[in-house]
Amino acid sequence: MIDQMISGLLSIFHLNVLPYIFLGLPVGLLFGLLPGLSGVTTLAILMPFIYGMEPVKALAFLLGAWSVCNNGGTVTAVLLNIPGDTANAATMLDGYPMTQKGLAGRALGNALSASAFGGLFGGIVLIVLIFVARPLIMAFGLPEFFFLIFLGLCFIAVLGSESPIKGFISGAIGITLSFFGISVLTGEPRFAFGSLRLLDGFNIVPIGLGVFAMPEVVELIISRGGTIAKVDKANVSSGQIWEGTKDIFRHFKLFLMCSAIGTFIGIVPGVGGNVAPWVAYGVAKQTSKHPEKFGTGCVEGVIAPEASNNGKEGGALLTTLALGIPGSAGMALLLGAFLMVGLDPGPMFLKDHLDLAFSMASTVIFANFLGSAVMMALSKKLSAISYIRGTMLGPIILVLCVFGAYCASNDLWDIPFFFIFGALGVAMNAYHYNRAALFLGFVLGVMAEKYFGLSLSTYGPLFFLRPISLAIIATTIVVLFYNKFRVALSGEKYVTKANA
Amino acid sequence: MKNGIWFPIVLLIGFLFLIVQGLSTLSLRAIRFPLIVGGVASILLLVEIFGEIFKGRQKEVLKETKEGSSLKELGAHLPAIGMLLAIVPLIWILGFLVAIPLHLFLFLKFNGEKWLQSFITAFVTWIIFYFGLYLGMKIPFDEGLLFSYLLG
Repeated sequence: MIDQMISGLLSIFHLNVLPYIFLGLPVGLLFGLLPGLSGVTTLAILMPFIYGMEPVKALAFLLGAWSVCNNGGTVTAVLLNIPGDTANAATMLDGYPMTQKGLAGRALGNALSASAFGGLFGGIVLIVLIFVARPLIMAFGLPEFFFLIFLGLCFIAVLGSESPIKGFISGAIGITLSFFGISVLTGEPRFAFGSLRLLDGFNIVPIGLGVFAMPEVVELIISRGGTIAKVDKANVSSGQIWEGTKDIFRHFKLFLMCSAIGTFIGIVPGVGGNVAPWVAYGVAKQTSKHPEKFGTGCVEGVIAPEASNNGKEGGALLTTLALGIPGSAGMALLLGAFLMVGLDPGPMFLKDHLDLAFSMASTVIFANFLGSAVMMALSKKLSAISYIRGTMLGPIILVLCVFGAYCASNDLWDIPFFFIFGALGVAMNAYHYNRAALFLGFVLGVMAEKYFGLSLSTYGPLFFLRPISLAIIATTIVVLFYNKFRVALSGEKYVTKANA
Repeated sequence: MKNGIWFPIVLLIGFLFLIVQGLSTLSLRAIRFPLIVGGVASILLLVEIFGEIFKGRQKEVLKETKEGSSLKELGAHLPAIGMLLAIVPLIWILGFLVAIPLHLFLFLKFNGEKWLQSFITAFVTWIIFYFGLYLGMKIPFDEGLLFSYLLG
């Protein structure tokens, strides 16, 4: 077994495998940089190319691209306030304010290092847990899935720096938007108003681009000669990026905690990795000694979502390999890729192809480090974007957004929807409502309804009386009120943004 | 009435409309979760609306001035915002490959950029869209009403 582990881990460095990782890497980074082209789209586009490839090469190619997609999205989230992928949205909360303060280099250093080390953490967990994963995963039932999502939704209250009521209202708007289309429980058309287009529901990409990017585009255009960065001097020296990397070790406990959160949520099938960065952000804010700084360009607010974001990949891969159950849409495609190259994931996979499982773990780790290194090398050039005149940059971002909204499902209707959600985003921004909470609500709404309905019909109204469910509820309460408990116990004054 | 109150009122009307619509057309199982979410949101919106109404006078005036000025600022830039929206009919009529560079060129020129800079930016965008995305990645861009009519 040790032999298989060593040969599997080292197999990616063979000269006939390594080029496939290097081939997948730039494709993943490029797709990550383009809004609307997520990791899932990347896998879907690349899948036809793996026909006839050996499994180890095909998976090195796909995982190489998949693993670094987040890094590309991280860069646009930090520099432009545009999430390259759904999972990058939480990074914008503090990454973009850091760019506005002229700290783009440090923010990119934070985010990319957290990504790389988060990927390392997830890969190590994959290696360690590969044999004991099955009972852990099987312990989760429908109520546990619901409460895990509920935990994510509860962070709506703590995500914003303004009123928690406005946070919950924003989250409810997002959840309500997820109801349009067909009911996940009954299959009935819901809020479609006789329109075939609304029967499909809203696509996540126009919503994400609309509520986050449109207010920035409008602000850039209104500001005339203004730029994203609100200070004169660019601070993207290699010293700043290195400083950003060192921040990971200054906040090592937070990094470990958030990577573990990401990996754990990645392991749970059906919940989807999109929850992980938000939960990690919420936990980081609630356990911080200065929660009032979150949302204003705080280092911990960048490290937390990024560490969990890449940490989740190892966890999601574990479930896919060990049970044959994909933890996310991307993993479902990867499962298809396994079948295309003649592999059958599931309990027998680990017995028959253990070396391949270790090879995938090392690909995830290696690709994450390589992707982060490439992006760090390009950081100085990329961060110059934040100093381009608004009148020049605004229309270019608009074109990127329109393209992203369209190509998410090649549907022209997504362009007017992008503008409608853009108007909503501008209004929410003007009246201090929480756009991140809306997005989180939309991402989790369908899953929350599905698992709530199924838990209720399967276990009855007392479906929460299960040990793991109660543990998650207790965790939710502790995390939500941690700061208040701590303040009450220590006797210090609770600081909010308003009185900071 | 102050500006800040209109947004929650519009949201409340939206939520109430969806609740009524759902109750009259959907089964209990399909409306149960939306009802919980919509109900909670409506209560919170009422709290927000009454909170806005009864908020301290001084604080209200301060916030109103800030919100009012940002909206006035937005109003002053309506031509630019209209130009933003023009991309939708342009794509509908001319298709992606013509509308995107044309809109970019017009927008940059409209915002006072130099002719050459506007042209080069639009041209580079066209190259990326045509060669990189349309030919390279085979993204099926809509060709627009005009070209689909002309090309039959």
